[in-house]
Amino acid sequence: MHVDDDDAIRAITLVALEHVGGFTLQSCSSGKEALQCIEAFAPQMILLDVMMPELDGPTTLDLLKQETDLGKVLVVFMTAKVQEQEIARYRALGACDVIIKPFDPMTLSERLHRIWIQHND
Amino acid sequence: MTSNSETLQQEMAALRLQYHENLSGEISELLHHSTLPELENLEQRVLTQLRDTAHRLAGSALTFGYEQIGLALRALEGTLDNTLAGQMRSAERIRKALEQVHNSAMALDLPAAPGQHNGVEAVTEDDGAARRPEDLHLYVLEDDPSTSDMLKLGLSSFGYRVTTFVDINLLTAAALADHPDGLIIDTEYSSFSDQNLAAAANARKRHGFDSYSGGQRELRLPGKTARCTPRRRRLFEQTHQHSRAGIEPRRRNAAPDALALSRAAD
Repeated sequence: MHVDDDDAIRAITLVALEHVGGFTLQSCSSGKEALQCIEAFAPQMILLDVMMPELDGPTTLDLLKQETDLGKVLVVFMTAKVQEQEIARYRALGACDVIIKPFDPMTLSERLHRIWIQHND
Repeated sequence: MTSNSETLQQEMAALRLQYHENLSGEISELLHHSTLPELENLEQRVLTQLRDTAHRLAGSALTFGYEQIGLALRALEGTLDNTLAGQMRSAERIRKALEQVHNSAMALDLPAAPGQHNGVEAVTEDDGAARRPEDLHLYVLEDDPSTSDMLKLGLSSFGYRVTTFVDINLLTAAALADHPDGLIIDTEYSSFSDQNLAAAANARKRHGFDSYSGGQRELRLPGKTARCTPRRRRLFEQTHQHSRAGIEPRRRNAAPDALALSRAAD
């Protein structure tokens, strides 16, 4: 599941992950939409933009945890904030990794595959 | 290259083209704030909206490879962040950051948003906006297959009917028979010669096509105006120096236009 408020980023991520990586993607334009879709889609991994209007990434993650059991679901934050304390904060919130924006669409799926393998071995 | 990766490249190219088209409108909306007299006293809510927009656009611009404007937007975001955090309150700094975004947008030669040039200037002329893209048939002359495919895919995604040609003689013959609504011509087309330039110039003259009239050259499409950059104009002048005598001045709103497209620039 990918959650990002930017239409262009969602579009390019969809191409990058479905066509390049072979993932099945549920694309959500807001934290609210993610909350509505989470049960039905039952993602194995959530790619969550940090800065979004209304519900930001961390708040969305918090609400998702209340809504469903995210026990085995990998959560990856995407952010332009690259300071160490920010990244440490996202990890403390439950993110298994953080992808720095801007990202390379051509290598995004490879990066997620690596994260998946790293946390499922 | 496999067909899958070709398809992927085409999809990416189409997305990039679409992003390029949309960016102008997004930037002009953002820059609208720079003209607000109340910039000195913007409410927290407006500043937050501005910051969020700058953040979103910076992220997407950098992801799509627009480094200069992406960095300018990032700087604007930082300025607004500092303002919101109460570390400084300087309308002048915000204005300067917005100006930097404006300058980067100008350097990008973005296609104009509806009713605007390069996202910053208003257009007052009637550009035939009532015509829908699907009503327009465009001819593309491009001898590089991947660029040609990308153009066809990108323009078709906006609804235009597109026919591509690799041979200027075929394009000229078809244009004389079918009267397309617009020509898109690669100024670095490898087979340009005096002879076929003369044929193209003759076709333009006969049908009122005018791809360069000595002034500001524009492609008129519904709701959009592409403007010739100085670099493209120079290229076009160099390419057409032998045939310009045969081109009549542009007749506004009267004829199909042609866009001189520099492969290197795109």
